[in-house]
Amino acid sequence: MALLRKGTRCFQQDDEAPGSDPPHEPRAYLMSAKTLRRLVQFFFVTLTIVGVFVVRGNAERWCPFGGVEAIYTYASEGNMLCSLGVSNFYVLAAVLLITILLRRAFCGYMCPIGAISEWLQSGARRLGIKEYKVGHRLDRALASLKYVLLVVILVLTWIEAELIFRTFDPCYALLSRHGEDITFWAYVVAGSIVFASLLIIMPFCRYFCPLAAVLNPFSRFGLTKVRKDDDVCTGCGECEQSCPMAIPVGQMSTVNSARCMSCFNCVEVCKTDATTALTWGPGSNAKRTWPQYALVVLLFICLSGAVTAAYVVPLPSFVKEHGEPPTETAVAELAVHNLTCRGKASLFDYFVTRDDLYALDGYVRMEAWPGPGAVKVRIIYDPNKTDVDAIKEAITEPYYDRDGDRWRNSPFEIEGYDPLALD
Amino acid sequence: MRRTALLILAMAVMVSVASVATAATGEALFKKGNTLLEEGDLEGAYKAYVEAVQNDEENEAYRQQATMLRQVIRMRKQLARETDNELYSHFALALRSFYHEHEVFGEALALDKAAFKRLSTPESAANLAETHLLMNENKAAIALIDGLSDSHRSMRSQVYLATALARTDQMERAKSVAAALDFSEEEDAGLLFDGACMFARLGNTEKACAALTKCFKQTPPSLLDGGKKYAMQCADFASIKDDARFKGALGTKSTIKESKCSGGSGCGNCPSRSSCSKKK
Repeated sequence: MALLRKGTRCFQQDDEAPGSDPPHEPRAYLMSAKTLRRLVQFFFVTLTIVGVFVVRGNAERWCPFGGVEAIYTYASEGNMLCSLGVSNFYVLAAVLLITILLRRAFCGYMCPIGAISEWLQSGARRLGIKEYKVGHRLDRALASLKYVLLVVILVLTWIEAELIFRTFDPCYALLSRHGEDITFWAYVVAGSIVFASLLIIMPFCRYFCPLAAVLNPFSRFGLTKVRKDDDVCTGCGECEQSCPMAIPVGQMSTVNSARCMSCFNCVEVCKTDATTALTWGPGSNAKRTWPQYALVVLLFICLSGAVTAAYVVPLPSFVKEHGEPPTETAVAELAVHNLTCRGKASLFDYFVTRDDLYALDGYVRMEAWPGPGAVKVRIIYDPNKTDVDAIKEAITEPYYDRDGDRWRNSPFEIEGYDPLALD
Repeated sequence: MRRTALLILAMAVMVSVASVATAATGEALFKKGNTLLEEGDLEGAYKAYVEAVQNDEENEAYRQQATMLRQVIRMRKQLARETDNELYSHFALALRSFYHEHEVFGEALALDKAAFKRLSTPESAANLAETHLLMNENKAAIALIDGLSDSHRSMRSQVYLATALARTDQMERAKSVAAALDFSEEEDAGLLFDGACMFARLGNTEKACAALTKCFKQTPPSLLDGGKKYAMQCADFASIKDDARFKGALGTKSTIKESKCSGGSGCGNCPSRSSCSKKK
C-alpha cells in the first residue's frame, strides 16, 4: 500500500527483511511541512497586525528582545525601560525555552520579520528575480555582525537607561503605529531589509538581528535536531538547496548549526526511493522522527504559558516607594491617561511626592504599568495620614517648577475623576 | 424622501449653529475671566472660567486655566497663614510667577512688598525692584535699591538699578553702575534678558544684542517663542527694534534640550533621561 500526496511523502513497505531494523518511514500528513509553517507564520503576522492596529494594545510589551534590553535596568533599579512590561521577560523566557527545545523555531515560525522576509524572497522568485547566493566566507563574516550590533545596542541602552535605538527600529515603527519618536531612518532600515530580502534569503535574520545573536548560543545546544542517515542518503544536495539559512545539511550527519530553524524544508524535500534520509527529533537516532505538528504544538504551549503568566502574575513595570510602611495600609487603584512610559512614570512619581499645597503625608508606594491609553496605577498609602481624594488632587493639580520659574499643568487624567468637580 | 432629507439637513445646521454658539459663549466667558483676572478679581475670574468650561467641556485650555486659578486662590489663603519661611517663599514665588504671566502687576507688587518685608533676602529685594520696573515705577525702584545694604544687593538688583537710572535720564550714574557688571560668564536666561534691556537703554546696541542672543540660546524651546514675542513688545528695546543685529538676535535658536514632560519633543532629547527615575 502506498499513499502519495503532493508535497508529502508517505511510504509503507509490505516486505521487511527479517532481523533488520524497520526502515524509518515518513508519515502521512494533511498538508506539507511548508504549508503548515506558512500557516503558523501567517497566524502570528495576523496576530501582530490585529494587536497593533485593531486592538491597538501596547505590542511593544510582547517583544522578546525588549526583555533582553530591559534586563540590566530591571536588575539594577527594579523598573522597566520606556513602556516595556514584565511581560517582555515572560515572552523572552518562552522564546529561550523554545530555542533550547526546538532551536530557532521562533525565527522560522513566529517572528513577523522572518516571515515577511521569507515571503518577499518567495515572491521575488516567482517574479523571476534571481536569488543572490552569499559565498561561504562572506556569509560567516556577515553573520558576526549581529553580535557586534547586539553588544552596541545593549551597552548604549544600559548606559542611557533608554531604548535609544528605538527611533531606528523598523519593527518598532510598525508596533508603535509610527510612534512620535520614530525617525526617517527607521523606514530607511525597513526599506533596506525589504530590498535585501528580494535578493538574499532572510538577510536580517542571518546577519543583523540582535535577538538571533542572543538565541544562537542556546540554539547551538538545542535538544531537537535534523539527523541524516548516511546509509540512505544519495547525496543529491536537495536538502542544502532548500535550506533558508544556507546550512550545508548534506555535509552533516547531525545538523547542529545554531541557525537551524527546524523549518522541515530539508526533511520534506529529501528524495530517496523508499525512505527519507533526514529525520527530526531529539537525540541522534536518525531512524526515529517526530512530526512537525509536535513542534507547532510545543510552540503554542510555550507562548500560551508566557501570556498566561503575564496575566496571572502581572508584576508592575514601575515601582517607587517613599517612607516606612505603616501597620495599616489602604490601596487606591486608578486608571490613568498619559502615563505612557518610564519618563512619564517618573513625572507621576514627582507629582505624588510633591512638597507644595498638595503634598501627601505619610507612606506612599506607587505601582504602575505604563503604556498607551488608560493604564493601571496602584497607590498604597497610609489611610491615617491621607486619602484617595488627596491622592487624586496631588496627581492632577498644576505645580510650580521653582527651578524653571514656571507653572506646569499635570499631563495626567484619572478616569472618572474631574478635578473641577463639575460632574 | 425629500422632506426627510430637508429635515436632516435642518437638524444638522441647527446642531452646527448650536456648537458654534456654545463655543462662542465659552470664548466670551473665558475672555471675561481674563479681564477680571487682569483687574485683580480672582474669585470673579474663576467663576467665569468655570462657566466657560461648562459651556465647552472639550476645551482643555479653559479647564487648565480654571484649575490653575483655583490653586492660586487656595495658595493665597495659605500664604496668609503660613508660618514656615521656606514654604512661604515657595508659595510667594509661585504666585508671583502667575501674576507676572497674566500681567496682574498690582497683585504682584503687593505680594513682593510683603515677601521682602518678611524674608528680607537679596532675591526678594530684586523681585520687588523688578515689579516696580514692570510698572514703570522707576523712582521707586531706585529708592528701594539705593536703600539696600551690600548684603541685600545682587547682580540682578544692580541691573535693575542701572535700567531704572537710564529710564530716568540719569545716564552717567547708570553707566557707572553697568560698568561694574560682568556678563561674560552669565548663563541665566532671565538675567541675560534683563542685561540686554539695560544695555539697550544705555545705547549699547552691540552688548544688548549679544546678551539677548545668549539669553535665547539658554531659553528652553517651549518658552522661546514667548520670550521673543515679549522682546519685540518690550519698551526697553524700542530704540534698537529696527537694528539688523536685534532682528538677528530674534532668529536665535535654543541650545537647551527639553524633555517631553516639559514641553519638548520626546524623551529622546531629554538631558535627564538616563537618570530620570533615579532623581528621588
